[in-house]
Amino acid sequence: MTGNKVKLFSQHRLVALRRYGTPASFAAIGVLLITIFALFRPPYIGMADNGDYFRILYGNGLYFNVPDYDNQYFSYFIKNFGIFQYYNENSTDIFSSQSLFIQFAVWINKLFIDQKIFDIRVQAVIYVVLYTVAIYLLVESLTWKMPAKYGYPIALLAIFMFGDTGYTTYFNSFFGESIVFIMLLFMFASGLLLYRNRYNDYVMLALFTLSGLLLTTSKQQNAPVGVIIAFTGIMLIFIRKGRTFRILMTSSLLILLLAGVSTYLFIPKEFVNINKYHAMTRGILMESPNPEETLESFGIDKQYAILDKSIYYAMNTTVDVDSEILEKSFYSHYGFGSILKYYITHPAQAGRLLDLGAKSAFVIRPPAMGNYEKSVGKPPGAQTTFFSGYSLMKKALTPRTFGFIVVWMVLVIGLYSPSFISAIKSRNMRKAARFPLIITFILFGLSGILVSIIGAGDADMAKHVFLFTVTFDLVTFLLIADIIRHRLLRMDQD
Amino acid sequence: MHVKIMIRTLIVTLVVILGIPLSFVHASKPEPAHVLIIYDSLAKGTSREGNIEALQRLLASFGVKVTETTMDNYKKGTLAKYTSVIAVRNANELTISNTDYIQDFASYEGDYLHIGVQLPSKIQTELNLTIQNANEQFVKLSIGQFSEPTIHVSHMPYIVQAMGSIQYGSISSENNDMDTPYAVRHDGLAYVPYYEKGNLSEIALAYVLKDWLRVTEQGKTYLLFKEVYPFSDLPLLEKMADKLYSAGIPFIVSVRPVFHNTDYPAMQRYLETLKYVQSHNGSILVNTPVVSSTIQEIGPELKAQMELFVDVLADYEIAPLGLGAEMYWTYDQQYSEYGMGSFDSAVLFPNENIRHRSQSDSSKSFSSSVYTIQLDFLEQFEHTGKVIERFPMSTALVYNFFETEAELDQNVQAYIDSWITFDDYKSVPHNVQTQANTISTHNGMFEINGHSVDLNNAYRTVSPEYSYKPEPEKSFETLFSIQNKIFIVLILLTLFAFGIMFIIGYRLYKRKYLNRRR
Repeated sequence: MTGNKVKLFSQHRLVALRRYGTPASFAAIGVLLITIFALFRPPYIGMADNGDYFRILYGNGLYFNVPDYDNQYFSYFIKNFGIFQYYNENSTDIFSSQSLFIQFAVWINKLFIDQKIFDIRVQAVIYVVLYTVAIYLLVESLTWKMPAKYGYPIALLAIFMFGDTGYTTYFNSFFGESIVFIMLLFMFASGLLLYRNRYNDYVMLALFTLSGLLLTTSKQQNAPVGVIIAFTGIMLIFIRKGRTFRILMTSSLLILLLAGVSTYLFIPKEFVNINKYHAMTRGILMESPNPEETLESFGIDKQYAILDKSIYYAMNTTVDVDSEILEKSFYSHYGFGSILKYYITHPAQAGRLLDLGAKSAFVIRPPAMGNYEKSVGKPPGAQTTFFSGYSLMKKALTPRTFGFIVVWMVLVIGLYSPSFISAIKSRNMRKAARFPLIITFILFGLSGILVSIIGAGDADMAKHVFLFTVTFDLVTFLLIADIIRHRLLRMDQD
Repeated sequence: MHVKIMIRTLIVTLVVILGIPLSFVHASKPEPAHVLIIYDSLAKGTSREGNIEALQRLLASFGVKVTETTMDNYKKGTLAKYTSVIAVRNANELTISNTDYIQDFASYEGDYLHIGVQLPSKIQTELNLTIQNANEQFVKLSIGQFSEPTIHVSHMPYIVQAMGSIQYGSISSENNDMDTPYAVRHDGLAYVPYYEKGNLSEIALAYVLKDWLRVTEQGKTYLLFKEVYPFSDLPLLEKMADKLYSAGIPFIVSVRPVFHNTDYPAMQRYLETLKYVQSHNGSILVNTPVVSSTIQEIGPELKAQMELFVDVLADYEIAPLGLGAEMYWTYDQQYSEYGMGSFDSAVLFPNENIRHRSQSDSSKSFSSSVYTIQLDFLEQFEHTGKVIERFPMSTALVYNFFETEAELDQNVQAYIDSWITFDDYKSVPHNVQTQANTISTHNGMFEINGHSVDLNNAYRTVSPEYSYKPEPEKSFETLFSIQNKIFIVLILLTLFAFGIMFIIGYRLYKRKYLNRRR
């Protein structure tokens, strides 16, 4: 009797909470406040440059204006950059959707803050606003029409997982991961909202397409994303019977396919030398039982075996990655395709590298880069632990092997298959759309690991497998949320 | 009487010798001269750009330690610390605003060399010079046996009259309205009106510097090949050694260091080739590694790595004699201390890709230091006489190692035809010291830890058999394999039992269902 009273009381409290805000707005505000607290309050946190900023920064009219910038690589977060005041001769060689956001941030910075100095926090504001909306949509897709007793725990879970500064510190950086993260959230949320029929389908379709497009073109390694979604998203065409919707959905998938293919076509030309170097030295050669024979199978001089396991930016090296000798006798002998072929014909080697990939796949915050400004006085490379419970827990508790990833995939697929089969049987295509969406995200994650191994071996893995890190969290979040709201084995009812 | 005097003299001499502190006796190696370069501007974007760096390299090749400062950053009292000062005035319009420098210069009495425009009146008076300016003209510059007929100059001062000074070279114009000395010197005072990188003036200054620095040693000429990697065409490198050896041309190879996988067959082949080169009158230099642009503190690791490579060479009976480095390394505290610390000889290349760690305004000097030029640079000059004489400073003619045999043949023939006498690098004393090894040259012979190196070792063919991945140590292997087999049997039995039960259950269920329907 007393137990029932307590239950009733807590249910009343939760229902009363709804008056102040839905679980979605609760989660969004929670994440927003935590992120503001972390990024916009001293000591400001962000991410140190690992040497990659140069590529995206100079092409977008910004430059390093801190005198000892070179000394702060990896060590300290820098928040101010110079804005070119004259003709910028650095054209962007690499097209990335990230440039759109940087350009927009620079424009706002010039308009409201400073004409000459760019404050990276302006960019962070844009990301945080988008991120808050994405969190709102994600939680809304799961808690809409759900009792408050399920909704608020899910909202809390969302705050715990996605408010983690392991993710949000990326906003105060020029790494493309910010875009990848936000766009994955938008894609996942809009996909689920289509499945739940929550908002106008056309608006969700537009959001799905736009976020998919920005995601695919954000980084060259995301090229497979467009191709994957173009095939796994076919189910979405049939969720509505109207001709207009079907034509629009088909065109959207075609656009994503095209974006993926064209991003892929850029790879051979723009495949950055450092990554190509590591793809061989930290990938193929590292796991080869006889590097000399392996090199000869690619038509490369066997003397290059000396580069086995070498890391270019470790410290002092025998050869410059951009040197003529490597261009002529090393890089010209292999590419994405030949490396892929090699791994297919040497599955044991591929397996060992996948295990290496899995080791970093559960680390959200890359360990190499510091989070604090130099002025804070922390040692070089110091990292924040503020609101990092989830990332620390994930790093400590997950078994970091590829076998675990396989078990996780089998579990997820196994658990979501019954509802999919029953949806197909009842010919309810909208309700069948959840399963392909989950498969899509699992494939995104796998492609992240594969592309990074093929593209750069095991070097800088924690940053390269970011795509998997996020998709694992999104799918796991959905899994836990569906367990909470008892929708794991059943489909949602309208 | 004579005997007494002799004994007294002997005693006095002994007392004097014994009275000298031991450290003083050890410090018999003369300290390198220390020169201050003070300049107004790097002249970026003008024809004078790069002349400061060229001057630094020239001074290094005379074994001089250099400290540099700009006129704006000059600190009071600095001039008084030096006995030799070089002022470079590149900017035509700039006047000196630093009053500390003006005051200190007024009382400065040491050696002074002025390069460029705006010669101070004090020096002009002391050298008794009359100067005029030439603008937008083509001039002919001659020094020693070399001349360059058409050098375009703008805003160039030239010496009209110089009384009682030693004159160097000549500058003349096409229309003969100018025929003046290139530079003048009187004891420790000298004036060089024109100095740019990339034309004959780059070399001409060396003639003045040598006398101004009171260097008496004759410069030498070497032939040097760089860009030699472990994955260069090693058979071609051996072929080059053969050809040069047959032509009697000694040469230097600046080889890229390797810090990892030094036990791999690929490394052994690299070492075998270097040994072959060494036995064919080749001298080996350790080229500096490519330094990362992102790591801040590289010191101790760099030292360990450089020593490791020197030790690998020494263990293989290869004697590296010095270091091949871009000049900026000598102006960096970390590079010079940790990367160059083991070497007392260096060949300094022009800067290509500057990546400082802790930039210093003072340079490291070497007891043997070589200036470098490319053949095409030399070819732009005319010269009198067939034989090309040595430059005032030790100079290496530098080539990137060849890619094809045709290129090799063509160039070796060019060296033979060139009438340049190439010197043997190992004929000059060199010393390389690591914790494990001491490498030196003595009368043209290599010595490693006091033992002379046998140059006639037969070439060994390196076996490609190598265990790249050592088998991991396994414990309880048999136990685990038995355990695995037991588990496999157990699992199979369980699956079998489960299958049987499933079939029985299904049949029971079906029977019950069929019975009901009946």
